[in-house]
Amino acid sequence: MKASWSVGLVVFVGACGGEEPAPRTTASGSPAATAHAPTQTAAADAPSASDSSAPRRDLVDEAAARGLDYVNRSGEPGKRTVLEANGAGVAVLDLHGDGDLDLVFTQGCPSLAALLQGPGADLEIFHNDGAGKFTRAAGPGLSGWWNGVVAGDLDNDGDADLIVGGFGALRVLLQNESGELVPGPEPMPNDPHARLTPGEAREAGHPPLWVTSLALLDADTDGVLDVYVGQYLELDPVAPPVGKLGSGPLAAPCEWKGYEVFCGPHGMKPQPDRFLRGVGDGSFVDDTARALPNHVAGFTLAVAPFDFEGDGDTDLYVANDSVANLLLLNDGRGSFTDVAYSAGVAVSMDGRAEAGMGVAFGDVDRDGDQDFALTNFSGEPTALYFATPRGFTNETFRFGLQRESRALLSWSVHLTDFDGDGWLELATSNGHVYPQADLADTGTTYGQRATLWRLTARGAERTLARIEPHGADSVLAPRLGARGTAVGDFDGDGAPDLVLNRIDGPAALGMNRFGAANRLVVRCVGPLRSERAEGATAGRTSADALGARVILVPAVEKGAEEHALLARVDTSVGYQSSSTPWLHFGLGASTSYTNLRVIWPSGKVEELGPGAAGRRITIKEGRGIVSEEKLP
Amino acid sequence: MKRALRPLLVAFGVVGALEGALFAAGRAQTADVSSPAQRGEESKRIERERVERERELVERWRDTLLIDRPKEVLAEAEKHAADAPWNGEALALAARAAFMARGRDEALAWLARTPVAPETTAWIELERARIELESDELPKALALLLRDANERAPKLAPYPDAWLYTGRAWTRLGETARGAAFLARFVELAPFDVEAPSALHALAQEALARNDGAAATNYLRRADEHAKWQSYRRVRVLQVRESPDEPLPRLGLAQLWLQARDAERAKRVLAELLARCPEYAAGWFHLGEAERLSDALPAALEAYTKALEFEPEHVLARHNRGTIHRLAGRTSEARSDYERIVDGPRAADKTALNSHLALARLLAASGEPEAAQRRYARYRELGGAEALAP
Repeated sequence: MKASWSVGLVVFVGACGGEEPAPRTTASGSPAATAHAPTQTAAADAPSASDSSAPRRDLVDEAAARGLDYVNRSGEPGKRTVLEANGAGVAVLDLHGDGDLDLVFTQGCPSLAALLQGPGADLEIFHNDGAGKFTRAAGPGLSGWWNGVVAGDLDNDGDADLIVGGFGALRVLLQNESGELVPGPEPMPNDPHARLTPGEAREAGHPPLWVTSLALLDADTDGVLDVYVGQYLELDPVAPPVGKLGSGPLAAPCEWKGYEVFCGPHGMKPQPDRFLRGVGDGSFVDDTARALPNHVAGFTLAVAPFDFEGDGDTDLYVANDSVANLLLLNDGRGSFTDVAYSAGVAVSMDGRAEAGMGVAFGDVDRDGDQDFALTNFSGEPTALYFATPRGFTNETFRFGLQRESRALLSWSVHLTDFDGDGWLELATSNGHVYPQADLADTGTTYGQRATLWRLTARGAERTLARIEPHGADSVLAPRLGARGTAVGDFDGDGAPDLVLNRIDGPAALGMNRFGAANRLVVRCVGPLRSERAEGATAGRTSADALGARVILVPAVEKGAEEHALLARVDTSVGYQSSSTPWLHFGLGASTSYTNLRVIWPSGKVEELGPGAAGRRITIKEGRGIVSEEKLP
Repeated sequence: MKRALRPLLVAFGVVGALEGALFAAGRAQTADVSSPAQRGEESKRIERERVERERELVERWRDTLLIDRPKEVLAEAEKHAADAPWNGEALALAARAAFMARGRDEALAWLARTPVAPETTAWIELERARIELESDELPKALALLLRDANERAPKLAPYPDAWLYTGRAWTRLGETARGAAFLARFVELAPFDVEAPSALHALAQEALARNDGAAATNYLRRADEHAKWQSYRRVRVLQVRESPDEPLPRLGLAQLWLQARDAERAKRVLAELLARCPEYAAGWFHLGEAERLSDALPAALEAYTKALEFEPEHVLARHNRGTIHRLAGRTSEARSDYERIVDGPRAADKTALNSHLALARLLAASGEPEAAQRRYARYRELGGAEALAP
């Protein structure tokens, strides 16, 4: 039965093996003008509006030209502790309510000793002028070593607020009427050692709280956002383990590939995650016991909200470092049960608990449910899971992602249609945790390029095509490690851009230069606190409509493949970062859509009928499209 | 060197290993012998030593890869690159190290680099399949592993890895039910293989997919147990490499092999331990346990005796030695050992409880009922619950 060897279902596109595959070549041997697979020529998917004679470009790093001068500090170059390797995040949010997207970066310190000595780092804020030019603004005056950040309207007043966490700190920042982020109440645990105050004397033996990624969601659909606080491990800042864990003859060396490296997470104690219930005014109460009754601590690095069963409530996927991941199923009232094993997403397809780093959801196969990508450590592929009626199927190997990504240590991840062709791209930020990766025979490198792949999934056919950087100014070109990344349209052209927080270096701002495409940009908003009717507290949509699902059906020519595109409003995407709440639909060759449906967290469904692409629209719950503008 | 230790260490290759080529059978190692019989014996000895050398090397390289040090394997492999023919399993491990450290092309180059002994070529074929599998070339991997896609057994069925790779390739292609049959066989063949937890997990997932919750739970439980065992093993191997002269890590490693009921592996580890710490009573005791597990009671007796030489109050060694005496019909020696425990300074220890009962039973069987009752009463006093009559 020879035919079965060829399988015939798998189409691998792009080059083989390793971190830097060669560009796919045409029959004549010259680099292909685009990385599209031959199987991707269906009329509905071709970005018809683009000028095929123009040189191909992708995400052009315009950080310096646009005034983004953030430079990350993440400890010492040698990385003596795991804290120094995890890097920082970035949040995309609208400050001042002027309709453009501003940036807030978290920041670390030059060393652990510097943190203890103080002063710690503040957040770094950059205001957008509306055209994508940034100006540094004063920070909120925090002091610490900051990792994860997430934006959302915590007090339902119509503007975006922020929660930021780090090593020994968790702060709420509420946006005031002047667009400033003002520190609010601190949702810290009662443990007096949980807080690390830079400059204050501290005894050894008391590891502080360590927050990595944060997720905002409305767990009980009361119209108020709650927070899942992902926490990492117990690291004693005064006497961190160096060289080995334990003592005496049974001490275990901290090593990787035979080289001494920083200790952890293996052999260290994970910190349990927490769940904070939103009150509605920007304050929170610790509701961990009720929300996470059987929680098992697991070195959380990323957490992302999604809707597992399509029942309208928000579930969570938690990416754990080195231990099984969690799929926390919401009972509808905000109490979660881990069903990762039964859903097939706890461990790899080979049954290995891998080092989950980042997670992003998106409808890769365009079947109306949320698939997801999960980044992992080097030697472990970035995993791709497709939603099915009874869980997920692991599509990693059928896409050839192991071959493509196993040498990479990937962090943040996005499933976003950057080129507007109607299929999602998979973007990952990469970079090893160990500087020793550059030594001989590690099979990987410390600095790693960011990667972007086109994905298509038609029936049983899978294609994966790596987008090679168009030139040295592409954010995909430099071999530099990055950690947190976020997506947002910074110059208002309707195309999603990508901001990268590079570890120990300047941030990159990848402006989308894929060319013109048919797009629709959608913003969903719910009722403000002031607009709410008194009484009912359940079945509400929050002011920024996190959790709203939008289904768009592109109009296609007769004979072309019909499909629907699903997107969900969430800001907690990737790793330690927060992306835009605006939804970016690429319509491929279609210049219009036949239907647009919004399923609000409250349970209400709005059918908005057909419409044209090339617009940016705002939909308010119960009121349809309340504003629209033509994209340039 | 202690008399009892020498043969053991030679047998396990800890001492007496010949210097020089690893894989070239007999090269530069033939002693000057004259008669055909002597020559025959000599060549058998050389062959035994070669096999032992290769086994030791393969085991060490597997451990080295277990702790993720591919460059060490590569460095050693490079030194012996000119030897020929290689043992196929060793060459496959060198290629695996090359894959881990340098990528697919280097790994394939290693596999083609040197001829291998004909009886070991299967390892090369398996490693090729593994490389294809790890490169997402799933159909290619299956083509190497199976004669026909409908085959229910791999071409190299005696090799557990062939079952693992075939099961994994089918599973990765989404054919989980088909993969499960191969993975189940792999787990049967190699329950303590480093990949066993992974295979058990995959089996659990497949059981869940067909709604067999009980099977899934069972597989998951076993997967967790095996994963824990593997994780301890990895740490112990690391500790041994880190502190080679410390007895505890090697003892821990030997205990893990005893737990896996692999007495031969345990004996080899203990031989290494005792070569470094010949007066380490716990090492001798565990060697006795390993010998006992392989039904080598005289060797076990000798090992327990050595343990007692260095720690006369080692309760378990003395009890087990007494039991071997009793089984061999040497009642007075057995009685003497049991009495030494129950009348000794550790008589009230939990570990001594069985000795009270054993002595009581021995006395009863020897026609001393009163003494037996007295000893039995003491046994009950200390918390024993078994009846006097066995």
